Amino acid sequence: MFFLWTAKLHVILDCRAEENTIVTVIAILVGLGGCANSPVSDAAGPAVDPVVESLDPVDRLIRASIVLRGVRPSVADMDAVVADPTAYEDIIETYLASPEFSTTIGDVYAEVLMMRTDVQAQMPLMGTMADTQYVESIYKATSESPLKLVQQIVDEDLPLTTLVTADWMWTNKTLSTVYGLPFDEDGPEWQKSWWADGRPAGGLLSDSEIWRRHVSAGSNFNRLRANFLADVFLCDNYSGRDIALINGVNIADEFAVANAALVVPECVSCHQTMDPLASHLWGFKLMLKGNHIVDAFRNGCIDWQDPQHPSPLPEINYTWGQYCYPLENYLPAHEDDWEAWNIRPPSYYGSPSHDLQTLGANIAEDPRFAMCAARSFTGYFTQTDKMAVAYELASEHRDVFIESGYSAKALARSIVLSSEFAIKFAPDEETVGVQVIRPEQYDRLVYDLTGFRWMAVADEPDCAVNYNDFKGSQCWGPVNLAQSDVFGFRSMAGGIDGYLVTSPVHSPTPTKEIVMGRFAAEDAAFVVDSDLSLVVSERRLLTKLDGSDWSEAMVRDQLVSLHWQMLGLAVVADDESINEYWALYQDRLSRDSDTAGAWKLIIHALLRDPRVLFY
Amino acid sequence: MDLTRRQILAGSAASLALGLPTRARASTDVPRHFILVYIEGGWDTTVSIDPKSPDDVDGPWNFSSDVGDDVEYTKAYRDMNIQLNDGTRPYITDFFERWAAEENRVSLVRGTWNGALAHETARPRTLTGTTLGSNPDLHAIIGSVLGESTPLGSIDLSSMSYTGYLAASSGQMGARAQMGALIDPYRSFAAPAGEAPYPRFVPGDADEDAIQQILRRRNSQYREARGDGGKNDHLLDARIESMRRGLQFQRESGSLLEIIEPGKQMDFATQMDLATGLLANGLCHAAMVETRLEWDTHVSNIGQGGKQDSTFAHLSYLNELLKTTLDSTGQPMIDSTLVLVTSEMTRTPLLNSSMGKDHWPHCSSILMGSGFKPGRVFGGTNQIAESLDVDFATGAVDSAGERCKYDNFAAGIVQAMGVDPEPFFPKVVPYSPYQAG
Repeated sequence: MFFLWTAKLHVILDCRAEENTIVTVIAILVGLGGCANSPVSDAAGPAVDPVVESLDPVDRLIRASIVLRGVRPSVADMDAVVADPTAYEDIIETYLASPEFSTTIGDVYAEVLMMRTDVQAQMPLMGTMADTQYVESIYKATSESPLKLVQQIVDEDLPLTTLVTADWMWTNKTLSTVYGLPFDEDGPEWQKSWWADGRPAGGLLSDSEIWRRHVSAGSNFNRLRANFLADVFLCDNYSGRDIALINGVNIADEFAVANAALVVPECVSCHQTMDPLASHLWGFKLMLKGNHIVDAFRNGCIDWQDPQHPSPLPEINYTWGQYCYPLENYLPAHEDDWEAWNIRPPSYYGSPSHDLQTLGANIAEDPRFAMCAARSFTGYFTQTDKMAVAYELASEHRDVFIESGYSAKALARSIVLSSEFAIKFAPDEETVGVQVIRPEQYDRLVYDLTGFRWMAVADEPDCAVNYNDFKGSQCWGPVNLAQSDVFGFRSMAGGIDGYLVTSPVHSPTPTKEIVMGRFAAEDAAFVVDSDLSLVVSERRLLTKLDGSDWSEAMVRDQLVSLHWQMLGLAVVADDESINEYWALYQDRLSRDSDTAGAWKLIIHALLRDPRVLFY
Repeated sequence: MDLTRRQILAGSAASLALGLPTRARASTDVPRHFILVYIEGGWDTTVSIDPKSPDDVDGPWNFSSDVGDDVEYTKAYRDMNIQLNDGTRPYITDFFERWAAEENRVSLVRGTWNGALAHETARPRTLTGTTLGSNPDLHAIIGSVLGESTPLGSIDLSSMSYTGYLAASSGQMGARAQMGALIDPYRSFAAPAGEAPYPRFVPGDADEDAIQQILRRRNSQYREARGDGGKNDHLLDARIESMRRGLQFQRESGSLLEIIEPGKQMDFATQMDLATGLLANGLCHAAMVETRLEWDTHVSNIGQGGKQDSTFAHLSYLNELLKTTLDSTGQPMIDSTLVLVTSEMTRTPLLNSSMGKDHWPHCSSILMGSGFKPGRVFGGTNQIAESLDVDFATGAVDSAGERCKYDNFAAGIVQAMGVDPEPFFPKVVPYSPYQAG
């Protein structure tokens, strides 16, 4: 029934768009009489008429700007849509062309792929990495490399299917040392390169870092990895289902499991398609963790396996040498090891497929890929679980996406230009309503407005002195507190840590309030001190405070400007909003004649305004 | 059954969506505090609370020397048969001698079927009673209902919790105790070399009060403008609730947080100290802690012995702490606190080729403190630690009964805390045969 409701809503909004009416209230309940399962009839409590009203042009632009770029629209952009609401589409084009957009899509895939996991132990700085000063370098190299491919695809508007078909990858100097990748010392920091170990090219499917993050433990035999790629690229998540409620299959016995997956009906239903996906991945080590590398170095990196310290699956005969830099994470000789375990051979949901390259090609041609991309983008852009995105809505975006040749920009454009994206009220769970700023967005928004980045060094002073290979203390290095979990506040502010916290929290929380409060205080101090040391024309926020003798009119004028620039709120100098901030200013000065302090207090408060927290 | 926010918004749970769930207490003597001790990674319960025969299962007996004290044996503490080794796991013996035999503060729930084989999928099932990590876990649910008037409903010291649609009542300490640097900005992390030190601006209480006044008005205006009787309302109300709780927590938790060191992971004992302190001082009603041990022993399952011994030593410490700490009513915390010790899975019956054990989707748990019938075993597992069908009323193994699944178990814990599980687990039959009274 929701689809019908959505369809009607869409028609109504489309009609309204044709009439060029931006703010219209339309009750649609009448059209749904007798719909027993309508969202409205589901709701309890006082009856609330569901109304469909669009955001005003400025709020719509703010939502789009934060969604696409993580920053608020410029004053010029807001002025433009006030003067002419139809300017919205042209402005969106500039957002889609900006580097911030590809950064945002990098964030989308960082969340989807769960790549930013600084809470996990990182690779040790040993061997050829021993001269690297900070662990942060290796974390950045390993976690960001796959996301660089995502960003390139977006920047160059390549088909998004390139994610699973690219025959290249991205590396920096650090990663090239880790994996022995071709790298031009005289070239840029990040360069296109390729896996030089003979692995078939399947974009992210061939990426060592994806499969180092997503391991296959014990006798799982890549099934968890198969589930992961099916979920990420096809939205076909096996693990959402409970495993069969049967006793008697001894899953401690790898051969018993393999046999059950072939013959026990409750098992076959999933394993007949999951296991052939998993069998594409046997070339990768099932697990490659920091402690493996430490053990390898301690054992001299030789091509011999100490029987007292077996590698995770001794039958596979990994050697210590493979765990020393440059790491050998993919071994073509092991691609067919599934045979030894009586596991189904590689195939793609019944279609022929034999390696990572054909797997990627199959995924790219699978109709579910486009639908899944539409769901993933829409879900991220509207803070909705991807599988909760209404089928009809996802289908519309999918069609645009396919027609564009799988362009991420076209998909994003379709979403932010849709009528549904502009809905002001959300009486129903699936409808886009108020959204809550993500920690990554708040970080960029603050930096864009004020130039402040919350950097810190949390290392102990003697971290380098105490460094004793992997077991000792190491120096992490400077960290962006807004985008980190190892020392920072990303998951505390609603983000994910990619490892244990894998679902973002799209809600205000007490912890997020406390984080934003401290962030805003440091930011306010930074920008006020910075602005007041500059001439007016070079300032970021305090652009109305000329000279040193500030009249009430000048202060009010500054407050009006800040409300527009920081909140998108158009008010006049004697508006109640300005009055209360003028009162705050005076109150602070009455206790302390520090005018800079008064402005810090004001900026601090504005950065916690609901129009910053919500969009 | 999975509960989406849409379902929460619907039907009788509408008030819950607004952060105002109906508090339905079964009786007045149910616990007021809840501590969830999470063992992340999957413990091998055959090492301690679910003994098995060496004929059927590889267990600690595979690694014992049978020399001196290093001898495996089982011993019954009241109704609970426990696997012990005084040589290699003395603290497990100590725990049961003291807290089961002497104090009678322990029961076991064996054989909860968990339905998933991977940590990522098993974890939400155990903690939230659903398949979705976007739903709130047990400590968040219980805290949200019991902690309407405390600064926080629940607090997570493990950095592994799920708060979902109840996030507005939940707090997080951070993976490395970062909250300490927020509550006391003078303990902030250092600014990079060459930059002005943090904190650069610390508003006083009067400043903050003035800001709060403005923000409250702004919130109200925003709610008037954007309120919709649905999702927007939920978020805007969550903002109002979060601001109130956040400020209260900031102002009332300060001295309690002095025991933590921002930038360093809180060890198990520190988490217990802090959780007990926060609960006793009325800062919250539920807390979640974690052992900080690597439990996922696919290689060398022998390591389970030492980890469990250490964990039971800490559980003894927690019980002692609860016994000697008074809550706000002057009652020992142990009389008002239910402690649940659980993991997302146990380990396979047999050792694999790396002398480790893999994932086994059946859970067994420990109840400590108060609010349950002590000295008992509820439910059971077969000879290879698979969950057996039980009579939901008595907890007795009964082939005519049903399997206790993760949702039944979670709903039962919520019910045992005097909270109506129905809004959180619609149509799920709670499994709480252990409930006192």
